Amino acid sequence: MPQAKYTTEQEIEEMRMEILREKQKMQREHDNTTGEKGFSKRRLAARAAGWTVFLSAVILLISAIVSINAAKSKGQIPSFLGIFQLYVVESGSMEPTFDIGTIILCRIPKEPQSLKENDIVTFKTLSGAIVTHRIVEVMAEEGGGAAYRTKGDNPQNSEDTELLTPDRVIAIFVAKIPLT
Amino acid sequence: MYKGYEQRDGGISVEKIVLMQNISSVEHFLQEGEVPRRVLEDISIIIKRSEIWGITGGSAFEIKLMLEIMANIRSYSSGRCVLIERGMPMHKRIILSHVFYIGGSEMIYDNMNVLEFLMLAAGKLNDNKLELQEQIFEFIIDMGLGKISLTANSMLTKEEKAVVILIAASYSDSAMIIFNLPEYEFHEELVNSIAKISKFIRKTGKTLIMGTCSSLMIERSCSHTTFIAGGKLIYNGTVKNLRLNFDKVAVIVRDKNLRGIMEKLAVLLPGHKLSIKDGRLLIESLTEKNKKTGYIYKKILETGFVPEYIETNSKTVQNAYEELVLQYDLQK
Repeated sequence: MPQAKYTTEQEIEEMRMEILREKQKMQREHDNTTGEKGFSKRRLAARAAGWTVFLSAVILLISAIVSINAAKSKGQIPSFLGIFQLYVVESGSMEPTFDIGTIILCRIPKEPQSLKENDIVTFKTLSGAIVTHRIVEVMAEEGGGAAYRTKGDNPQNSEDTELLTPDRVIAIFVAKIPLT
Repeated sequence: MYKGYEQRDGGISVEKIVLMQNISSVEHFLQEGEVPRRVLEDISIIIKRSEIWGITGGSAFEIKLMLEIMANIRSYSSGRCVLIERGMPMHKRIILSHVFYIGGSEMIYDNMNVLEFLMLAAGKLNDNKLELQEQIFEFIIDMGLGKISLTANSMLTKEEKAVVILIAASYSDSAMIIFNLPEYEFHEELVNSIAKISKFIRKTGKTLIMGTCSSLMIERSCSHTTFIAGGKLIYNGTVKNLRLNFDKVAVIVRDKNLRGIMEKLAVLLPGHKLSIKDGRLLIESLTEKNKKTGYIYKKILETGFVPEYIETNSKTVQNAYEELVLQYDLQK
């Protein structure tokens, strides 16, 4: 069938529609590209925040290691940021809560006179040893002060004979360092 | 309207596009028993920026040769020719970037359609091809060529192809377009399209020089015209001046009894020239005083005849050139 020579109105309209469709497609692609750019900006910000947190953690860890070693060499209790202290459990009195060798993170208490039952505290005994035990009873002393009865979690242990007074409380247990 | 186009002429604002001074052609006409004469002799013309020229004459060969000299295709024997104030290279057939020459319709690719070809020709103008495609497509339709906008080039007539090439030229960065096709016969629809393209070309600051034997083409498209007769330019100026100064017929009368009306009017209209041509009575005023058509109408009614048709002559290029040639022949 021979091809018609002249372009019809319908063909002209079809071409116009085709151009319009292509323009809309290009616009959509353009919009998507702009959206992707916004998305990448957000992703970039998140990544930057992640890196900041990671680097802060690394710096914190390094400073902790340095300060712990420095304190150890001086015979002091290792601490960092001024309020946290690290201890190594050396006896089995708190088993099964803490195995021997576990490192625990403790916090210096703001109000050592207001501790509660079941708090795990690190304190100095009257003989000068540093012990970490659980408060099993809060007792009111004469004159409005408080005293605590303490005990190791190990069922073989009995309650400590000495009552713990707030002035000998060194720190409150916060967390156990994993894999230790 | 047609955004994306800008006139690029190397940043130089040039006013004189063509300057021909006393140009004589190398070619001669040889006729038996007559002294050979140069095809073109003593041609002087100045064509300025944004002008649309129609070069016409009695011989298509003379027209074509003049435009070929202008386009640096042919050598000339004597005189001076300067294009866009840059001089004319001695070596002919060098393609000049500032001249878009259309000497035939073979330069169009037959394996494309009109829109595809124009996209190819204008591709470098706009990086956004889709925008350019829309722009060119709507331009073709606005130029009255919608019905060939998606037609395969192989199916077009040579005249249609030439118009498509003219559109490509209008989108080019050449400051001067030479449309040298005096042997082509453009029908009225194509002449109207060329007129619209010419307007666009003028608006963009380019110059179009057309070689044509069509008075209608000159009347519809051109701002200026020149007529070559016997190898010389016998008119050189604006189309408006040509029509007003050389088409002197004021009123045209049509009737079965033209002879009777003419005899009566000869008495009633002294100072007027009356002649019958192609079944029409042509009335010319010989003096400025008698130029008012109302006076002529009144005198026609005084003859006692009621002619079938009376019209005020709209001053055509065709009539003007006929008068011009007549005057030239009489001078010779």
